[in-house]
Amino acid sequence: MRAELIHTSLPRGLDGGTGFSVAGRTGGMPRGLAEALSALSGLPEAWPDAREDQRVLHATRCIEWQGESRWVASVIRPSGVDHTGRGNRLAHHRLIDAQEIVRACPVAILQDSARWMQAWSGTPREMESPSEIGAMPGAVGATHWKRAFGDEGVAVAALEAAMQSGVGAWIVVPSEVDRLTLLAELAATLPLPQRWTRGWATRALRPSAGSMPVICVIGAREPALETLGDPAWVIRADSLRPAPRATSAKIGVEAEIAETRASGRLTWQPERRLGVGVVHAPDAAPSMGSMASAPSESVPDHAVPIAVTLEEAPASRSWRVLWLAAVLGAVILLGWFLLKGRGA
Amino acid sequence: MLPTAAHRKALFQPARDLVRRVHCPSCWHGFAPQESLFIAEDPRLLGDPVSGPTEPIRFLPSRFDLTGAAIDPDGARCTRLACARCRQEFPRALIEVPATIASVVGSPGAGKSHLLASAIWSMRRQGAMLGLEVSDAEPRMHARIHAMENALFGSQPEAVPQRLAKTETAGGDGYSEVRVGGRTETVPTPFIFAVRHDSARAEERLLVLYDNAGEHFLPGADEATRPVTRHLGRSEFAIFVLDPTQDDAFRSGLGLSAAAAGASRQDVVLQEMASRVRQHRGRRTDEPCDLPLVVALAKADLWAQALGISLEREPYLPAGGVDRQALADVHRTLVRFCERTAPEFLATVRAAFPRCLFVPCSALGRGAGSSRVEPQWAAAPFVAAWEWRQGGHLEDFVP
Repeated sequence: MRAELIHTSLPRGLDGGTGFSVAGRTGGMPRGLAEALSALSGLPEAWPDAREDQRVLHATRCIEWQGESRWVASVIRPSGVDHTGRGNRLAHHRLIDAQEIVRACPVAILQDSARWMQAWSGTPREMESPSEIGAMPGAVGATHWKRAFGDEGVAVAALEAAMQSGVGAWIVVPSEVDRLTLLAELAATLPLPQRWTRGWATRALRPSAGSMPVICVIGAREPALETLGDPAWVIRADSLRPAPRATSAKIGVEAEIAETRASGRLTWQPERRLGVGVVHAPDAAPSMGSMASAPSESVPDHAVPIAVTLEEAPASRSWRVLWLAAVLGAVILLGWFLLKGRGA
Repeated sequence: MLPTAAHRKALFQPARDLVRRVHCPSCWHGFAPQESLFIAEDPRLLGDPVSGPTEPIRFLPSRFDLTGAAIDPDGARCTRLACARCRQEFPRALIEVPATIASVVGSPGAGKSHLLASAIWSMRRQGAMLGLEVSDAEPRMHARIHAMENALFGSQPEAVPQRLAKTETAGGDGYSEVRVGGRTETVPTPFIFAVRHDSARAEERLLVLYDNAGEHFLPGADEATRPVTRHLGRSEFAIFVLDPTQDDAFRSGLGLSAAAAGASRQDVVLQEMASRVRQHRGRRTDEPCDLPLVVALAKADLWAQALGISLEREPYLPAGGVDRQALADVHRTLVRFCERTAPEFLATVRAAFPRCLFVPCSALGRGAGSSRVEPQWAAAPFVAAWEWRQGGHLEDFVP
C-alpha cells in the first residue's frame, strides 16, 4: 500500500479539531493508520541557534499496525508560524510498500527532495496515491565521512559499533556537517536488503520497547545528549578509530586476508531477532574497499550477515609469483638430477 | 577519651517515614513505596522490556547497602526509582513527601506553556512575596522546563520577541513511549516541584504539573493508548487557561477586533474536561466535580485595562501570602464580565465546578511583543490554587 499523510498545525484539520492535525492524506487511508502516522510527527527540540535545515528530522521507521510491520519514511521540518503565531512544523510521512523496499535505499528515499513537501498550502484535503519509488541504490563511497573525519573508515567503524549495540545507536557528529549525506553514506556500506533491518534518522530518536532499532546520525549539540550521560549506544564519531577491517582493506594486510578467508564473513548479532522476513543474498557493497556477497542460505536467521572479502594486495601477488617460480625451479632441478642419475 | 556526639555515627541510618501510597506521576498507577522499582546503574544492564531498549533495566531489589540504596544484579549501587507499572523514573521525594497533582487545561493556543514557564519562573524568584519556596524536586528531570524558562527569560538579542514553540502532541521531550501489557502507551513527562511554606510550619509538599498540548483536551482525544490527560482523575486542583482573545464574544466585549479563524470553542473544552474528571474519578454524570477550579484568563495585558483591572500590583500581601481581598475583587469583576459576554462559558463552569476562582494573568506581561518578558500575575493562579486546595489557606469562591 502506497500512501502518504501530512500533519501540521491548522485552524481546522481534515478530521476536525484545531492545532496539530491531519492536513492531507491519501484517500481511503484507514483512520487507525492515520493516527499511527500522526503519532510519528513530533519534531524534537533543537539547540537554540540551530538553522532551519539543522532542525529537520529525516527518518525511516517501522511501525506496527494491525499486527503487521510497515515502513514509514518521514521528513519533518520547521514550517514558519501557524495561525496562532507560534512556531509550526510540517510532517510528511510516506508508507513504503514491499516492492519499493526491494529496490530502494531507505536513506536515498529521504534524500529525494522532490518527493517531500516543503510547505502546506490550501485547505485540508484527501490526496492521490504518491508516485511509485523506482530503483534508488543510494550513495556511493564515503567521501563526506572522509572530509569530516579524515578517514572514510570511520563510517564503517561507526556502523559496526551501531549494529553491535542491538538497540540502535546515536552516532554523534559535528553539528555543522550535513547529517543526511553522512547517513546515506553510512547506509551504503550495507547491502541494500540489510539497510531495511534498521531505521535511520538525522535527529535523536529514542526507540520504544519492541520497536525496530534506529541508527541516528545526530549533531553534537543535540539537547537530548545533555541529560544522557555516556551510554554504550551513544557513539562519538570523532573518537572512533577507523575500523581495522576497513583500514586493512585499503592497505592490504596479509593477516587480515587470511582471517577473512578463514571466517568467510563477519556477522553482527543483535540482541534479538530482527523483524524482517527474508534475508537476500547481499548485493556487492559499493564502497569501503571491496565487499563481496556471501551465500545467504547458511546465515542464521537471528543474525545480519555482512560479507567481507578483502582485495588482495599487489605485494601479496608478487610473493605468490616468486613462490611459484621457486617451486617450479626446484621441480625442474629435481627432474634434471633424476634424469642425470638414471643416465649414469 | 569518650567520643563526642559528632564522632558517634550510627551504623544504620534512622528509619525514614514514607508515604503510604505513591501515585506514579506518569501513568497515575497507585502502589506502595516498597513496590517501587530501582533503576540499574551498571552500564551493561541496558534494555528494559517496558521503558525501552536504551533504558537501564528496572528491578525489584533484594540487596541493599547500609544507606538503603539498592544493589543491582551486577553489584552497582542504585538510588533512582521507577514506577512499578510504566517504569518511568520519578524523584525519590515522591515516596517520602506527599504530592499534589495539578492539571493545567486549555484549548490549543490558549497559552498554557507560556503561563506554566512564567509562573514557575515567578514562583522561583518571588518566593518570599508569595509565601512559598519552590524548587525542582529533581533538576535532572526538568531539562524541558529549564529550556522553556531560558527561552523566555534568558539573555536574548534585543528586539527579538521571545515565544515558545507550539507544544508537540507526541514525540520530543514531553512524552515517552512505554510497552505495557503488549501495548504501546504514550505517557507524559511531569514537572515535579518541592513547595515549602516559608512559615514556621515549614512543611514540604510536592507539586506535580504537566504541559499538555491543547489538542489533547479536545473532545475525542482521550485514548487508552495515549492517556496523557488522565492526571485529571487524580488532580487536587485544576487551572483552566481561558484565552479571551480567541473568542469573538469576549473580544467584542473588550472592544477588540474579531478573532482570526480557527479558534476552538473554549466552553466545549471545559465541558470535555469536566466529563473526563467525572469519568476518571468514577463520578455520576450529574455530579459536580469535586476539585477547585481556577480559571486563568490569559493575555490580560491586552484587556485588563478595559475592565478596570490593574495588573501593576501583584495580589500578594506585604508580609507574604495571597491577598484574598484583591483576588475576590478581580474575581467579581471577571464573573460579571463573563455573564455579559460569554454566558455559555459561565454556565458550564457553574454546572460542573461549584468551587471556582477567576484570575487574570499575563505570561509575557509588559514584555509582550518585545525581547524582554515581564510576567504580570503569572504565578497568581497557581499560588491561589495551591492555597485553596484541601488544607490550604483560602476560603471558597463561587462562580
